[in-house]
Amino acid sequence: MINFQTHTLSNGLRLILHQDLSTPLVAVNTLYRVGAKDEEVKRTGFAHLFEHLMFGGSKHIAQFDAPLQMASGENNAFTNNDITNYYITLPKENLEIALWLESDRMLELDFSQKSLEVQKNVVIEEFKQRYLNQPYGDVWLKLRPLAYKIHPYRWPTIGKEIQHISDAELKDVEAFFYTYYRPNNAILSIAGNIDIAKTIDLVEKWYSDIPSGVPQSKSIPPEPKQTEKRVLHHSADVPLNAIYKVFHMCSRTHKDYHATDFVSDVLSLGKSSRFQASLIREQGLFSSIDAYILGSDDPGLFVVSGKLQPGVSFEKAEEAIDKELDQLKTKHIHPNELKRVKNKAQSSFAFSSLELLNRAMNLALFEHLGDAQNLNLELEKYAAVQIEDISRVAQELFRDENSSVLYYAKNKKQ
Amino acid sequence: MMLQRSKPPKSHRPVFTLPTYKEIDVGLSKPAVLFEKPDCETLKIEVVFKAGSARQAKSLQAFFTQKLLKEGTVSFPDQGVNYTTDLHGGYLVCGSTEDTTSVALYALKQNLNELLEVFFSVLTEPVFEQKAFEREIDVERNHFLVQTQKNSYLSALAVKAHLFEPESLYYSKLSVDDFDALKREDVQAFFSTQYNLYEADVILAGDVNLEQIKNIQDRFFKAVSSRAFKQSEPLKKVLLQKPNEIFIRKKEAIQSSIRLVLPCIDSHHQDFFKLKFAVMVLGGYFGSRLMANIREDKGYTYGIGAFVKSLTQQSYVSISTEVGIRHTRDTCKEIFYEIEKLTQIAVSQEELHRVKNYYLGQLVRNFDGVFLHAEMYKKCTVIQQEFSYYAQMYDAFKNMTSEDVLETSQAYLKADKVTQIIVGEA
Repeated sequence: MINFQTHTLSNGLRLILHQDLSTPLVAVNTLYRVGAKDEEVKRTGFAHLFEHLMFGGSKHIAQFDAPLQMASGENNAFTNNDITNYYITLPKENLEIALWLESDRMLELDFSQKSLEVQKNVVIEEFKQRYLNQPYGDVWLKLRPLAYKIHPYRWPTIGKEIQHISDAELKDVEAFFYTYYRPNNAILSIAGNIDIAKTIDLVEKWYSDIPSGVPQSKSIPPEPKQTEKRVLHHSADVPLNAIYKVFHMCSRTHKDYHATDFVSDVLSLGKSSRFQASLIREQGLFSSIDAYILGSDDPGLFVVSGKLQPGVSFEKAEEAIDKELDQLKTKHIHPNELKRVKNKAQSSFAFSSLELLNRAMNLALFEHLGDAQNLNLELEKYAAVQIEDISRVAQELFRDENSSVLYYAKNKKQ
Repeated sequence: MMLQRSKPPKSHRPVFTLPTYKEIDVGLSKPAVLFEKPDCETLKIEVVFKAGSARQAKSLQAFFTQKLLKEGTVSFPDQGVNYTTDLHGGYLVCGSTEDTTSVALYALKQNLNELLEVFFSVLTEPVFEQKAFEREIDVERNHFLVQTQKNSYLSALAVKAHLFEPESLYYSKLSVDDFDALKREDVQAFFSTQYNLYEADVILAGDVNLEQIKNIQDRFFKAVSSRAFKQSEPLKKVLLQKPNEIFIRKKEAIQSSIRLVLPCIDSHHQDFFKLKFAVMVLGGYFGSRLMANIREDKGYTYGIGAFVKSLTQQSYVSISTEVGIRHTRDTCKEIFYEIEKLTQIAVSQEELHRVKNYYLGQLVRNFDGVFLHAEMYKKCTVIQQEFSYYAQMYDAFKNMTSEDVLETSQAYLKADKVTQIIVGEA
């Protein structure tokens, strides 16, 4: 059970406070409710580029990192399709430094041309390092637009293409900031060795004069129901053929999310999972194979990805995957399989909650998803999943017309 | 009162307190250590053997021995280890480095007894079945083929091949043939000669009651008395190659991977903390000289870093980055420029205090909770240091001066001792 209190400022900023007196630290997590899904189709990658610019100085503070380092703090950030999340950990004595820094960049960023030019280059190098200069690095650049035709989940966070990043202009930066980086579009979560009342006062002190923005109610078009199987063949200089098969699944807040997560766990969590036992050890068809879910605000994807053993055809590999998925639809799983994934969920939750920063992040994330209190219901929801739920969810997921498949072949010359 | 946004609120330097631990006699050459946190639902128990790749006669021997520990034991044949661990929500994590192999169990307290059964079976009676051996070789060979498509992986491999002489300790030049040359007998032999439980370190963290401690003690006593352990043999000597420039061309590369390595003093040397500090200034954090110049000013890279790698018999400074190919040469030039600058101009008081405070904060962060205490204990044990090493480190950092940084850089960061490795295009 993670205890916390909430408080909302008059400008709409939502605050979550979690006290843990056993640590010498404080974690300050700021979640902005904006991600790649909020981008314009011709300006993809912008939310992530913007995250980089948040470190380039703000209205009253020339540099973000240096004063934080001076206060023994550490920070970083990430962007995904739904949110942009900034986090700091520092000694409890220096909490106010974090609030001073975060509030100033929420108040007003220093919109600098030099910072924009440099960070465009940095992000372009990141694009190359993660997506182009890696074997299979471009998979999501291909898979997302195959699975999504309308919804902005059809591009990855880094953006559709490098050109979109190069094209970003300072005026876009400013507009983006005043649209999305307003207190009423943010959630501030503070965890650690804090005094609750004093912390609320400090937050009021540093944040209450930041003006609200126009509430964002942009409607994102839902992805139309897929009606036939989609396939894409691609080849590159990679050592092994690979297959990626994805299915549309429910959203993070849907009642079937936990059962869907368990479906992927039954298939591929740990060496005793079905994929490992059948597709790797017994049949020797794959060198590696995984099933996992992309839990997102809007309906996400259930992903199966595997690297084929040399000599195994794509047809045979896919047939074997389909057979495993079919079994989940037609036969109930063994009670021990459910016990295993439930125990794993419980221990992974326990170990992950040991870390202060994880608690701060998760509280903010669950508040974003609807209510921070739901974080404390997670384990109950996992525990409530029944054997029948697994087959029912599998039947809904694993339909041919709900699938998109990328056949990623190695170039012949190799 | 008007809010003063231009001026930072007051801040304080964090205080570091070395955590305490309990010692428990488990019948080994050293007592087990326990970092206790009552009322948490989790427990970790880790056994650290001095069975790293430094002790192997054949390439990959240490790696595959630990890899196969979970693939069948006498009491849990075939996938019994994995099935039982997963069923009870445990995580059994094995890993090997140059100097050690460790086997760690992460468990919920409520399932501890079932999981201890498996854990001790893995420590004492793995069977290294031929079929499992072949399968794991195959999986890892394929993984290696994927990895070797990455310039960053190739440059990391090249460090071991170009820093150390071929007959030296820590030398390694991995190729796909090594996977075929390894035999099941090699891993069996490595286990029986190098997994010396009597000499191992045992580290526990979390909540464990008296009954469970008794259970753990009994199992260690039984395990250690079940077979005789030979004292570990002394390690080979380290022989260093002359500094060199290595260029491995990868046609059509988009980025080059750059690694600069420089052999240095080890943790027992009186200047070691000072050197660690100087390397921090150079490239050890987000605001470092290298990040400020090569990422934040020039935008050549997504990231660049420098750190001191501590092996038991040799330490070295390592600088690494991935840059767009057209910036390869310029990046190398800038790295040498930054090293040179550290040896010529004293750091400002502002920078000195920034690095100091950041580094002390990092030390405090590294000790947030008993599981991290256990991790830090392991790290100092591996390099043959007492736990008080960290208290000394805290004091040393706190007392650093700009002159210290300058003198240490002059003494140990010598550009003509650097081996430069580039994989990509230049």
